[in-house]
Amino acid sequence: MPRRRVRLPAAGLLLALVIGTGLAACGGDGGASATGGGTTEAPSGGLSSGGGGDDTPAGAPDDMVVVDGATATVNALDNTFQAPDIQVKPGTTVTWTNKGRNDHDVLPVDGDAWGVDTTGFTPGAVYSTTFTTPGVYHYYCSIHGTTTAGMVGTVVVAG
Amino acid sequence: MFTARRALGVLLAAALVLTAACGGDDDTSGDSGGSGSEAAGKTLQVPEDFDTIQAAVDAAAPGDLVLVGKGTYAEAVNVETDDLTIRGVDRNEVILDGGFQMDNGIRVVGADGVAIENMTARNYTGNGFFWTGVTGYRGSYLTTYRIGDYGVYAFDSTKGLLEHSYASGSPDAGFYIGQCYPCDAVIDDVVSEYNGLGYSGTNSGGDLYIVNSTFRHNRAGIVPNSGSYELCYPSRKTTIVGNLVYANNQPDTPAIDVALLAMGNGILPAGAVGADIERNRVWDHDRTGIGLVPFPEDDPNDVVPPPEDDERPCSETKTEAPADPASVPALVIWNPRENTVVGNVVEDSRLADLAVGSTEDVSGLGNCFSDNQFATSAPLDVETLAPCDGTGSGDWTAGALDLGVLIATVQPPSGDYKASPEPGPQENMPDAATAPARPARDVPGDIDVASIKVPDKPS
Repeated sequence: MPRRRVRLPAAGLLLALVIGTGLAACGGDGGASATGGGTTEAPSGGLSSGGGGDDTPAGAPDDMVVVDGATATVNALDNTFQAPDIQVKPGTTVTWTNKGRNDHDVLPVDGDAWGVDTTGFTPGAVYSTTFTTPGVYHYYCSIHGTTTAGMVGTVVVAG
Repeated sequence: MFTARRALGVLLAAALVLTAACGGDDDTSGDSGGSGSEAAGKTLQVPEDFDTIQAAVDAAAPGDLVLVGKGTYAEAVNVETDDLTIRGVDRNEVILDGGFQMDNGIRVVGADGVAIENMTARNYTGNGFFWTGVTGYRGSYLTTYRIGDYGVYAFDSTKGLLEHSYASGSPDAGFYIGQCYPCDAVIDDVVSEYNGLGYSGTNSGGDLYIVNSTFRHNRAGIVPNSGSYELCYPSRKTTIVGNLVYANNQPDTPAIDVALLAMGNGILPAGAVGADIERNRVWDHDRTGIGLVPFPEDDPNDVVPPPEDDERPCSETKTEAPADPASVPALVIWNPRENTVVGNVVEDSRLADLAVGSTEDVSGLGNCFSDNQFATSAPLDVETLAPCDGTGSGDWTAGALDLGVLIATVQPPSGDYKASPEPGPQENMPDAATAPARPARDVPGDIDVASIKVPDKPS
């Protein structure tokens, strides 16, 4: 899985924040489909121009691992998502593996269209979902984080 | 029941509120400076002023005291405000109860300087009292039991003190400090029993002291350990001094897999580096009293970093990407290196009082043993082989520790944490109803490790 880490230029990020077109930050309820399930409704709004030719949506973290392939993996350690912030293309299947010793969960900050609770994400368990719609999808582990702090992560779908 | 004592407490607390409210220009609410770390914030009382602890916490400002009255609170409290003091008026009668449905009793996420005092958490599926991602934390006079993961849990946090507390009935550890280097933290005067591990600390160390405490009747006692399932590996420089560690062979405790693997050992640095183990009294263990052992990690997330990285702080390493998965083997071994075992009194260990083993040449790992009172060791005569002063000599293969026995032995399965013993009453914090707020801004404070002596056996 080819990966590269990018950091948005500060100016580009600022521009993206300023002229972003109301992208559904956090992804809303849709835009992702659980493996084996149907595609859910895409979030409202469009993709930010990002400024300066940057197509990264507004609200995206400024330091992400960019995954170019059709699949991406995130390890849930105790108590960190690694890599916490990734950028993928629409249609990418993201797989989380609990490589910790403790139970975790993967919950979207907004909505419940995807994610896995603790009973389905015990140590060694795997969860996958396919992101079809551009957007910024924040998620967290409810045991070891809040929606904004602690064990949190982001999937940015762009490109 | 509204007792006279409680009425006095209410009056005094009300006086504190009025004092704070009338502080005028001298009111230093939110400032944790001044004498010691006492704060001049206001007092928010539960249930008098707020129905729930969470409501009081949400209304509190830095420097405030949330004072919780007697009662059972079915809450999972989140704290995201700096410098709060959250205190029960009676450790044994202020009880947070998760009903085996809620995850954490009180969880402090990213809020610095929060102190939790004088209360009990029971029946949580996750953790009893939990700090994560903070600078400055203190837990004093806390009790936890029947907890699904850890009793008292500090993760990715620095500058902490856990003291005068009790934890039982956790399948992982009663007390845990992990993913920090340097941690700058102290565990002092705690009792941990009927857990999988009395203490566990994964990838923690550096000014981390475990002192003057009792670890008994767990599967294993004190277990600093390393693994890439958390960041900031390996465990480095944990100091363990003046503890009573005994009878950690308890076959019916709740226990996760590594607790089963560690069962029957008193102090067991597992893949730890630079632990300093001095002046502890350790007895009655089915395997080792003090055993320095490797930890085999299957399906690791990363490779073992080289020794030259030992001094790298957690703040630096935890943002780094792990090795390419293609280059990570299916199994990595965290070997014990450069640990020091001095002046301990160890007896009645069925395998060996003192032990050190490795999957590689154990003689080259820099572990040492001196001035201990003991009867057996593996390898034999370990203080001659690896003295802490001078050069060792002898045959490392004679009586070498059989790691296969340690790994292969099948232990009794985990008990149900929901059915673990209920502890008796625990010592209360002095003047809990009247003492001012004291956020965790002066922790851990100075600790005179050199003055600590080998503790006597309990009568």
